[in-house]
Amino acid sequence: MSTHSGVKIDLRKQSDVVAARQSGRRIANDLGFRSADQTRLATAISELARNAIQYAGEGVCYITDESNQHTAKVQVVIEDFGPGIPDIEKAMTLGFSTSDGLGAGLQGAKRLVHEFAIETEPGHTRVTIAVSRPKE
Amino acid sequence: MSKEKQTPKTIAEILTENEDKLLAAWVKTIISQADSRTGALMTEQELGKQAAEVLAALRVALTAEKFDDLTRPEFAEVVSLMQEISASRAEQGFTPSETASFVFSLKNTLLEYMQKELSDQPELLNTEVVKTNNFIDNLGLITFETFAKTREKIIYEQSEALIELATPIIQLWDEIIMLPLVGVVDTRRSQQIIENMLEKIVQYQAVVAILDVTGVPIIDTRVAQHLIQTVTAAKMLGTEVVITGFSPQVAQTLVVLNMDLSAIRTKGTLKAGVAEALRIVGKQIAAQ
Amino acid sequence: MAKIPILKLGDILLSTIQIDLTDQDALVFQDDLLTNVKETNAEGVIIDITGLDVVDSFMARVINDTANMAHILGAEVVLCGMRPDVALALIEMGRQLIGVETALNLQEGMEKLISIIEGKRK
Repeated sequence: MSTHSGVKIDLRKQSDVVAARQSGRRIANDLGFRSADQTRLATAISELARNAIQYAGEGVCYITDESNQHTAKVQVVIEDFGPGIPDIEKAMTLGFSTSDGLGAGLQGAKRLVHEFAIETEPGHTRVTIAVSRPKE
Repeated sequence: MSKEKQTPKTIAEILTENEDKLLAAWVKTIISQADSRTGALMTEQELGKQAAEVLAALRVALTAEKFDDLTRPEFAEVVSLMQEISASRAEQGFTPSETASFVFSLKNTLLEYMQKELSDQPELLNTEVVKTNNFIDNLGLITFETFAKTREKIIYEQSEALIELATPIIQLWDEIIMLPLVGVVDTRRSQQIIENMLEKIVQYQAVVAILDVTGVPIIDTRVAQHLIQTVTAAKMLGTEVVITGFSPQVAQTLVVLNMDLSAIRTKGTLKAGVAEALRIVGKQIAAQ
Repeated sequence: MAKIPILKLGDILLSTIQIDLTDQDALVFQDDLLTNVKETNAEGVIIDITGLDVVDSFMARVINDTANMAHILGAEVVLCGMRPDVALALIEMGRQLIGVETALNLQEGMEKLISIIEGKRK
């Protein structure tokens, strides 16, 4: 992780999902993001944190301030050590999953944020998302 | 070939020895260039000061052994200085060629002095000229890149401002707002329109929003998709959207494209849309 | 755990969600509400979500399901007070609420619900 300030939230129980999305919103708010972007980020965190708990049993969420002199940026990494996602391309394709499966959460989260990356293998899944905006 | 007593001069030495003269010649070249407004857009003093800074940074830069890689530490100062200058040129409204000529006129001036100083050492002159040429060309590229980036940033900011201006939201009546859309609706703008509209719906507690698309020249599948999204989002807040001003051509296109607009309330003219909006509001009042 | 209060106003049940709910809280709320509809024979339900600043896919599904379930039990549901940001995030995710009536605020919601109930009686 970077030297920037940030928080780490263990994802074990459902209330941790709430804590993660609230932290995301708070950090985005502190960095001057508009309320629409705060909500986008909080919603995306909620989807991904729930996935981690639901499919891997538990996970970890890191939220960091990755701003530089030109851009304000909040980055969120959600990591778990579960079974991994067998066919990630399929899971990211619209219409693959039923309306509430793993894929729907991933796709929904992806559409809400400016950056989205996913690495997955048996034993480790890591989703990285970020919202950013140019500074004045 | 050359006189034995004279050690070969490098470009850096030539620059150091002739700095004042070079500076004067360079500034004169820039100002006297035809079609250039540089003299009008900034004072000779400012220009002279910038040029002097560049020459000083260049003196450091030209002591480097190799000139092929501009990321070398010797070049850091001159590179960042050139970036700073071209960014400020872009902001002041200089044209690309006016900005580029600042760098390239330096090349001519430098080459003149090199020819003079190294006239008796053709081989050295040759290598130094190639070196200088490459180096200044590279500086020119950096200058231009920075200039373009700065322009892009300015254009982005201006278009943001324009979008705000081009999408006014009017309170037409109690509980009715109206958005006259004018101009091309692309993805970025439509996102802003949706955001804006939802915010205003809540602010005015509008039960009906009229979206007039008379002024939108092209309505294709994507624009129609955005319109449907807008309607869906407003519905979730509890607000009806009435879209007015589709032209017959647009109606034909949308049907040919197989767009399902059945979930959307439309009216041909703004006048009919306003009547519809009042009817919706009136109906709700009557239900009390 | 937080329990969402459900108030009875004549034939209508009113519940206001004011805090961020866990998935479990949301499901408990669904149970409570349906039990209340059944026990009170309510004809309508208003769910005020002014206080919800995140509605993700799970919460959206719970809201949808609750409305459809209440309908089966004979009550109409009007959802009111959704925040603009929340609506925006939902459509961007490609989601929408299906089969739920919505209103801007509690008052509009009440009017809408009453007019739906009266329409049904005719």
